[in-house]
Amino acid sequence: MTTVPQLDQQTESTMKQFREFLLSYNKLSEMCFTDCVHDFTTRKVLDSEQNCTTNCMDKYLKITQRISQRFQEAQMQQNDSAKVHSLIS
Amino acid sequence: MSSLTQEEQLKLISDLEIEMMADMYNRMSSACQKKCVPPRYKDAELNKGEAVCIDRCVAKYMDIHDRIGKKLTSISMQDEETMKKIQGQMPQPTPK
Repeated sequence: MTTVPQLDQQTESTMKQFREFLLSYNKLSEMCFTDCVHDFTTRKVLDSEQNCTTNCMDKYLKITQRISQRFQEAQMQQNDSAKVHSLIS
Repeated sequence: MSSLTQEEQLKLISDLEIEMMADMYNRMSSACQKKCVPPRYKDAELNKGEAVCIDRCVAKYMDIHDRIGKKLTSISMQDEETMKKIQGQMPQPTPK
């Protein structure tokens, strides 16, 4: 009986993760569209707009990757110094 | 996932889909309003230019959204494959 809520918890966290992913996908679409598409004399997506969108997306992914790396590093440093402090006191 | 019935799973997924569609719709609405309609309200009518701009903006927004979605899917599939490869290469821990 105890395994059922555990599985639910796992499902919940997977769903939460997936939801976050989809939200960032929407955010990315909005951002790249706003920054790259300016011409509304045609409904066709221009090559330059297409190019800009692809670059925008790749860059966004690189930005988030780098931010998360640096954040992790900072967090680890903080943890380390907290450990040292707790050892000293 | 195994603790849920198939019905419950489908419900979760479709709820999520509806939520994301609504989110996308809201973002598109404000983006196209900003792009096509200047915030001056002398007239309550949507003029011809604004109307056509909105039509094209919606078409283009969904086009871009789809393209990005396809690219993201292919990237995440690639990622999954490399992860599987790496896991396959790792020596399995021997049970003691």
